[in-house]
Amino acid sequence: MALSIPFDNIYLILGFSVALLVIGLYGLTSKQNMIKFLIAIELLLDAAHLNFIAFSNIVGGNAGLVDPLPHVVVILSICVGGCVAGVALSLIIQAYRVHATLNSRRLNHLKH
Amino acid sequence: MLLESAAIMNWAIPFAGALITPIIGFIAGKLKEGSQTQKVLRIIRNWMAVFTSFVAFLFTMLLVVDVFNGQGGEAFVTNWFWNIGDKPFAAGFGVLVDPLTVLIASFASGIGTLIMIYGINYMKDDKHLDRYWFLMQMFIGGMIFLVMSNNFLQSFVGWEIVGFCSYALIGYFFDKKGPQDPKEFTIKEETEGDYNAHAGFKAFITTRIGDVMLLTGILIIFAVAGTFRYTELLSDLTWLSDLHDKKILVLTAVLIFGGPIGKSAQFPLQFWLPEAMAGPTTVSALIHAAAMVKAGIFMVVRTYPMFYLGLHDLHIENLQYYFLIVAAVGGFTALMSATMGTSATELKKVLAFSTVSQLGYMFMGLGVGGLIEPVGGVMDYNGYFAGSFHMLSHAIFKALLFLSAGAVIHAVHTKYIDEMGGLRKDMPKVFWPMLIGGLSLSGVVPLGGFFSKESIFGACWHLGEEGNNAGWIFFAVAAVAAALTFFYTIRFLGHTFGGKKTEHVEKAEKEQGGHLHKTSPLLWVPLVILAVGTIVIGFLAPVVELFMSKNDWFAAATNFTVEAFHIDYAHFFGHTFGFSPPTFWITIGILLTGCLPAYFLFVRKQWDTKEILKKSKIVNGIYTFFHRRWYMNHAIYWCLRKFKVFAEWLYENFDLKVIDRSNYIIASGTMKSGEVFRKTHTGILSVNFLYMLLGAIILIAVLLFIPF
Amino acid sequence: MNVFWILPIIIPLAGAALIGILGKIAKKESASWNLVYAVIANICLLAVLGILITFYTSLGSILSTELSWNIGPDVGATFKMDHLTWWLVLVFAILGSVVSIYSIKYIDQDDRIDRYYLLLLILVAGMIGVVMSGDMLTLFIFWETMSIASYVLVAFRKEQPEPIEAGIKYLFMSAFGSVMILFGMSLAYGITGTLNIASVGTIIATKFASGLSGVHYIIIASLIIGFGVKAAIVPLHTWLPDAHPAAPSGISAMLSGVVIMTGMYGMIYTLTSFFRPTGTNIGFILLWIAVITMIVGNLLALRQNDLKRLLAFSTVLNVGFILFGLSMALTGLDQDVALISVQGGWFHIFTHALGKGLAFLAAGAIIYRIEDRGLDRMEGIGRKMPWTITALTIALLSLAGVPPLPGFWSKLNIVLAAVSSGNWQYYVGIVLFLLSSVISVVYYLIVLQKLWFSEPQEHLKDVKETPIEILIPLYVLVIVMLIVSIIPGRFEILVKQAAEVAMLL
Repeated sequence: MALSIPFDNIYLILGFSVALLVIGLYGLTSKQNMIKFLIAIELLLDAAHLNFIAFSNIVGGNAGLVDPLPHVVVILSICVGGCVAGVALSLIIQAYRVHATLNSRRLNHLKH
Repeated sequence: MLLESAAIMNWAIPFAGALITPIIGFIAGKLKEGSQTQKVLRIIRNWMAVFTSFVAFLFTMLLVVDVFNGQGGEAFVTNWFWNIGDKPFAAGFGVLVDPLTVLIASFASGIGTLIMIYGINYMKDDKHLDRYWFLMQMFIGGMIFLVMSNNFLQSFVGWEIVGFCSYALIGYFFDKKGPQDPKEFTIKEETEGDYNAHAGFKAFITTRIGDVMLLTGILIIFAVAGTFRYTELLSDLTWLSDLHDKKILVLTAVLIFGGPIGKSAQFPLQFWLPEAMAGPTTVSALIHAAAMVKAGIFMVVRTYPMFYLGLHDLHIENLQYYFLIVAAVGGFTALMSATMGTSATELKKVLAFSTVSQLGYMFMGLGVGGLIEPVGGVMDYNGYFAGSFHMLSHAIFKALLFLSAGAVIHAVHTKYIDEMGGLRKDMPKVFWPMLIGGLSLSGVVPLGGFFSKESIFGACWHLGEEGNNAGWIFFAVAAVAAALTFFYTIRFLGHTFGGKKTEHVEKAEKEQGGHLHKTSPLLWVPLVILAVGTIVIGFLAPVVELFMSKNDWFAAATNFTVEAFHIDYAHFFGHTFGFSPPTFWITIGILLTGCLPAYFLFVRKQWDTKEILKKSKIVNGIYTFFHRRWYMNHAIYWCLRKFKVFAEWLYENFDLKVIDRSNYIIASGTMKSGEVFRKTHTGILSVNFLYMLLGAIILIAVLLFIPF
Repeated sequence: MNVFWILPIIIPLAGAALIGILGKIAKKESASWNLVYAVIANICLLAVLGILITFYTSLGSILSTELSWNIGPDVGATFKMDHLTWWLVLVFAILGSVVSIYSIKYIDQDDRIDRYYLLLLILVAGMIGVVMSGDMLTLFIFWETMSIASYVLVAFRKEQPEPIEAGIKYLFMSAFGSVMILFGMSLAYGITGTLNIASVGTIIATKFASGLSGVHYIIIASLIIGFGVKAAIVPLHTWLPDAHPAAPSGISAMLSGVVIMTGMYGMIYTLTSFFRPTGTNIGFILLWIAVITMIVGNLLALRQNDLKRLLAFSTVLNVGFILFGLSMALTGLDQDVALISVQGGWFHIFTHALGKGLAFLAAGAIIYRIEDRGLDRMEGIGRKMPWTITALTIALLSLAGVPPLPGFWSKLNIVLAAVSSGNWQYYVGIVLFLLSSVISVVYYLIVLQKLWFSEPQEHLKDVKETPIEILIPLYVLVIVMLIVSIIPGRFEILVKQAAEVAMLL
């Protein structure tokens, strides 16, 4: 990998991000509760955010500067993620009203 | 400018007519039943078809004049796509005006017009005429569109239009409720309508096999040459050598020939054409004379110069196999169908077999012509011209024969020749034209058929003289087939018009009030015109020859010079027709061999044919063999039935037992593993995510580990 | 910076705000208010269309505009307006305005109609934003805007069980896709230090001239998966057959016609911009994904009884076709040939949007009358609603690729390019492509045969022709399709320019 890395612990942070990714994927594939799905999605999102923040250090260069752009990205992305979570929660509530369950396994009326 | 627009108008106008027809029909249908306006509208609708074909014919005649004046060539209307490098890419939409296209377009529209006129009276009692006129005009338009096109792709579109229209027209009477004709032995269906639909379907499916081959061939050529345009393909022949290097040149050529095999009903796809008689007679006439089957000949003639130059200019020797295949398929079909014609009992089926046989002649002429070496830098024109000229003369006399057959069937209400007889006195206006047509079909001097057939004989003889023994074989085949042709021509003419009136005819007379109805002028006038055409076209042969030689782009693209022709009867007899004494006298001999026995059997009725069939087992065996069409149809249906049985067996034993079973096993296995993994394995949404994850893992693995 | 260039985004958003305010003011829902919303939505979309046409002449000179923070180059929100963007916005605006007319009658029985139009406008604005954005942040923000609007629209009839279930599935899978996009973007930012998509490409090309390595492949995979969820490539398509039928038919048309294609655009645009300068060959992988997508979509559609579900699977099939055409942009094959193929891909997006949009709208018109989606319940309806079924027939024939309808021309481009590509993978692919086309004709014909040639069933006796308000938008699309059939060459010019931009020529 042709990265030039001044910040020594970058791999540590990236490792955390991958761990978050794996946990999120585990949650998506093995949980039943829709709220937990939402949490898994948020974890995945955080993995990406963590990446951005980690990289902002490298890109800033050796001058000790930090590139502000990723921070903007992360803040905006958190806002957007909040919107998605809101919509998801409202849909889940509606699903609870209509189907009387939070279990995604019960939502299998639509089949191929 | 006039040239270009004429070349577009002659197919656009029939198309436009076809599109207007249903609109008029729709409006007429909304009006009060039987009202005056409705009648007028319907008359307009019918005559519009005649009018559009006639206008197309006039435009084509303009083109004829232009081509005679040495004009012609390609005209691009629009280029659908953009250029690759410098070359115009792919499917330029355009027209090509050259002798071949104009020749076919002229008889397609001219004979088409006569058939339309004839159809007005012939179809007057039908209830679904919107459909009829729409399809007929589409048919003619599609045929002209096919031939006027300047590239393979556009031709293929026309090819499909023609194929679809023929399918719909053959099955036109699909709703007839009466029982199927019991004498029919190839197709067994409940009602006559089902039989007709089956016939149309059979035609469509069979020709479709050829279409797939043709499309494959076209795409191969495109992949190598990078263009669909005929002129470009001809002017730069490197694609031939490229294909030759890849060892698929002959394969490609034969694939291209596969289309004509299906469309022109050659062996081994010849079996659809006799059943195509299920449609109205006008449709039969159009399919056999003007459109559809001629499309196959067109495709071979169109590609003929390319392969001819490949063989004789680039010296790709393998191409001689292509020409041999064309000639052999044609020769075999000519012979085989002629024998079938001697034993067919339906008037229209005799004619159908004769069509197949004559088409075989044309292919034989083209194939043989391709083998003839050019002499002294002069390209040999014999085969090329013989095939095209026979196509023209055949179009005229076959339209004549079909239309008169239609008139006869219309009058006596039977299609079997042994139920007819003695009609000569009652229907003179049908008899004389049909006699002329029949004699022309058999090649009697000095009718059109004689000259065109003689030119094919001449080509074969010429090849033989060159030292290629295949020439003699083809000559022998052509000779035997010609004798058989005369035999069955006399047979059906004798049965129909000669002898005494049969019971059936007398019954028909009684029903119609003592004597047969007079033939309507709308029926016999086209016949007379066509009969005159049949007589005249023979003497116009040198003119046609001159016309065909006006092929600028063709001559410009070759290293050979096309011999300069002029209207010169001496030249015409001496060179082109190979009209040297041997062939002429052999022809006379052949004709007598075919004619005399038939004359005594069917006109003089010296011997009773039925007695002979009863007494002699050999004759009876041969007759049945021919009558059952060499059992080919049976064989094909047998194979299909066996295949169906096999497929059902496969379904029961493999699909149900193995696949369904395995499905069941997989399903229950999944269920069971679902039980096992229930604690970790949740819901449908998660399964979706699992798919996703699996896809992602495979994708990353492929990206990382497979070099590309 | 010139705000004029981002008007196509601002106008629908402003319209949405206006509808939102009016929706608050109007206490009671009444037909006249509904009409007002529809008119506002339609005017906004037509205005976009009009502005777009005035843009065309200056497309060559203006490439991008920046909302900059004056920190440095490539920092800030970048919008672009090139031929490719122009072409896609055209498609969105045409289909959007047709759907907004169609919905006037179609959803008049529903509640919350103001929100419907509000969300429709936001959806269109989001899509336009996606194709107009020139940097990853903007792209992501508009991507999510579009996504959120579409989640809510799928679940619009929230009292019914089906839309809710479909909406939730759609939401979770699509949100996962968005996250993967963001993840891929974070890595792309990490190795290049910029968010500007064009700059990423040039930096990768100079910095990693020796060739691609692991991190690049992770980026490629993330982007393919992320955008692929929205584009419904197999095996990421599982939400589509649930979500598209469950939405109101107008929204189904939008989703199947253009939202899917936004995903396709995102995938191809980012991959091409990032990696085409390095001369990569990942197109072959996309080719095989496309082939699998075609086959799976076809097989699933074959036995469908639900008309809208069948159309949804046919969308999967067409995604395969489009990806097949566009994949050649990312191969090292002859550029002239690849251009034709890519051109075919972008053209197919247009023709498919027309055809599938019309098909969904016509299917919706049938459902409006008989309130059933089963094909076996619609048998013989052609006699009762001839105009609607005629429109459906034209749409299906175009999708089947019958000449000279639009679908034929776009497929022809792809086929011809693949045939002349001189690469065995494309040869194998094109055989499967043609095979899939033929198979797809089978089920289109089954539908048409059922609708036209069966005797009308008992319960269809009193069915009347679709109301004129619904027929008008259908026939607007029919007319557009006929125009394309007659002069495909004119449209090919536009697509060719778009394809040149897409190939970075």
